[in-house]
Amino acid sequence: MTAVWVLARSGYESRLQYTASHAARTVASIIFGMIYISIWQGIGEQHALQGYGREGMIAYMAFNQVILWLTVTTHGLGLEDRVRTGQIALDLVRPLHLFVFAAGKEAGSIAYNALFTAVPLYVLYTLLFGLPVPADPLIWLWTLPALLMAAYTAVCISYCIGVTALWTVESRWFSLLNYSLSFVLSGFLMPVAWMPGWLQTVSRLSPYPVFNDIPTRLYLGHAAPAALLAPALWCVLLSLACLAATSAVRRKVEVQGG
Amino acid sequence: MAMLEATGLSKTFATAVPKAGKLREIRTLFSRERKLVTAVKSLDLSVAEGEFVGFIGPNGAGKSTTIKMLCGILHPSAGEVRIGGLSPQRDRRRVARDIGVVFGQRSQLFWDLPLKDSFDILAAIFRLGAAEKRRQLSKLEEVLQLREFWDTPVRRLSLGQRMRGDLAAALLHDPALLVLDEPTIGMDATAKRQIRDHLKLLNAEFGKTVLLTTHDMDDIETLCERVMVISRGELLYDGGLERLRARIGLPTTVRVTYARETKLTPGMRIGGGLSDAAGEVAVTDVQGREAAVSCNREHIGVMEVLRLLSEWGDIVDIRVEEPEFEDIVSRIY
Amino acid sequence: MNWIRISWMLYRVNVRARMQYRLSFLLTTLLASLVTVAEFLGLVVLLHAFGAIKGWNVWEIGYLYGVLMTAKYVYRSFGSAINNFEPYLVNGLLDQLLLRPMPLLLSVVTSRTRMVGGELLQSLTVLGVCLGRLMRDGTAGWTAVPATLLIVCTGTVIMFAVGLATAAVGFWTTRTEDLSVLTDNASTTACQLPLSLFPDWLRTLLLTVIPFGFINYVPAMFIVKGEWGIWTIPATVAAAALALAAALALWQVGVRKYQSTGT
Repeated sequence: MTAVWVLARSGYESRLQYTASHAARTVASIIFGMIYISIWQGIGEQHALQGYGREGMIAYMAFNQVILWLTVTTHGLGLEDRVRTGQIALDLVRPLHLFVFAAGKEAGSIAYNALFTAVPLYVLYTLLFGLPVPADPLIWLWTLPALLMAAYTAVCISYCIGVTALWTVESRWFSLLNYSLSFVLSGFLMPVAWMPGWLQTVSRLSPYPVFNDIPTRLYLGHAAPAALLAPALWCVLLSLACLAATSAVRRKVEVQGG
Repeated sequence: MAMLEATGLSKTFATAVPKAGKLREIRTLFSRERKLVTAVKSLDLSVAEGEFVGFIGPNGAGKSTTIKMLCGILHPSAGEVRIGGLSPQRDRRRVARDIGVVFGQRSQLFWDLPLKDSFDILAAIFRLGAAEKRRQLSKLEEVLQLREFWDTPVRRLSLGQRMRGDLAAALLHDPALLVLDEPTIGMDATAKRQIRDHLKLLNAEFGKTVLLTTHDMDDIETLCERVMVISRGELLYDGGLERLRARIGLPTTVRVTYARETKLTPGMRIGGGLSDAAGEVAVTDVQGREAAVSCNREHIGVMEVLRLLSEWGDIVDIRVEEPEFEDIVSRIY
Repeated sequence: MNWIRISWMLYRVNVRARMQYRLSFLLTTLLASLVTVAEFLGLVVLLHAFGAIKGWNVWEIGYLYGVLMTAKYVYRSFGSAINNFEPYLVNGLLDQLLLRPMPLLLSVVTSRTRMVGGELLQSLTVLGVCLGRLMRDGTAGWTAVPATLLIVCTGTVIMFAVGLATAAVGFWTTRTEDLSVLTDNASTTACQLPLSLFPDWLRTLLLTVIPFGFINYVPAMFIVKGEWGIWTIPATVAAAALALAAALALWQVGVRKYQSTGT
């Protein structure tokens, strides 16, 4: 556990070095948020948004923008570089499991995102767009684990993508595809329930609703605590996938002669 | 006429200042403080046609920055460079035809393609005619012995082979001046010797003027008749290799092991009764029974030093070391 | 004339170098198309749920999307080095290019090639289908075809200008990736939908500092909506020219500030 803490701290601190780029990111995030919110303000003028209403939908988009930063991960958790430099062979010798090592580092980076992007955005959106702050502690009790599981799911997926770097030099494209899929399937653009039927099925079979649809509906009080079952299941499944991926890495690196 | 001339060459960079202490994470985030770092301070230098000049100095001395200003990659904050009478900044494209540049850490060859393809591309970029290209290539093939790996993709070449390819690429347009930034870095002894032979040939037989930076003192000793030493952005020495040697003398470290723990302490000067000409014999390091002293063999013999040391106890073991040339250069200045 | 020949040669060389890794090339092409399809799906899902938005029907919004994306991928096909400029500054790639006796910008542009056939085909299809539909409905006349061709060209110029200005900022900041998220990705996302949807400040931003609004919205207000006059066409051309001139000027100043990577 200490190891994870140290790793997380180093991941967090390495992010602190790029101040200008952080500012640009935050501004970009605010602008993206404004764009999506404006779209729903426009649509809400003419359409009744079932169950949400115009205000509710704006809150939905705003909260999505905030929690987006908890599921933004470094491409392949930085494994691509470690494969390119051959560092991966040494990583595997370490007493610490490769997944714990990579995820620990990423946890620090996510904590950084949470502290310096998500929280300021949250404050900004509550002031600017009236994003409601729930008074009911139960809501927080359900939302926080949903957010934790969302971050963990994102880290697992990113780890599996990073591992592909051992087989292809183009693993960056998997990250891009992952990003695009989550954009469409996670409920980032609109609640999954509003999608055309076939896409809804695809979405519900994928882990992506764990990122946005589930935590945001819990936060807005549109979902029952039972909605936490799906994220929990995905966390277990993806953990197993990560373990399997690591043993595949071990075999591959041994074949290559380290 | 000077092939290469720089006057009052300076370069300052602005870098961010990281915060220290409490809440440094947050304060760094909002800090806009910038510090000006002077990498090169008012440098004057000149290289004549046909010379082979070594350009040395410790890491961070401003070597790379100077080289990049000489080639037209960086714009100086003050001062001016002339290559064949032209400014590499204002007339970058003209000057690019007159110089060949090799960065040991990077390659301008096309990584995934057979070596020979890179030359087709470079010939087009430098607008060589078909006849000129053929003539240059056959000469380079001969001089640098490229034939054996002519069809191999660059990514599969050994470091030495790749460097020969890079040298050929820099020479394809037949420049009069060759600028080499650490061309032997990372190579084994055989490859280094080979590259040195090639460079010697290029200078002696083909009349190329060469400016070379390196961390390898053997490169300097076998190739350069003239050396420029730079440290903290300033030119500290410019002249023959012999004279630099003489100026530095023959610094030596003598390590002795006494039979018992010694009373010598670091910083002590021993040999009080010596004449001034003998210079200084200073204790640099003491660990238990072991002591190290530095002296200059130009002024005092090792035997004399041992005699001085033996006054402090019974000596059971002796070692004499000559430190790295570069270390001395940076320590002296 | 000669530079065009050399650029063409460099382009072929880049393609050949890419083809050395055939499998990875196929994979990239496949994944890139999937990414574009997914992005397009985002818009489709939105339009599926609501149909018209603020007086713009599905086909009109599709037209906006088609023009924007075609311009984007034409730009990416030749400007991929500009769009990913950070490595040139961080890894010292630019040093090597500065040693070539070529105009620097040409050296940079020809140093990297991205094949965008799939993406371009997709955006052209969307554009063609939507424009065809609008012409059949009588919303747009035959003049819409040459006008659309023209604005795809000016749109490409605007994309390139904004990309170049973003890359040039890197001469001061070294890092450009995050800024390009702002100037490229965010602007592209916004301009897929009519600008009238957005608050004033955002609309103003997209018509001045990052003039993406001139890629599709401004000319479309004349070509398919007919609400604004023909003046929008020369205004679009002027905006493109102005953006390009400003970006080139910034680039020129930036090159003098280039710090290279210290060792």
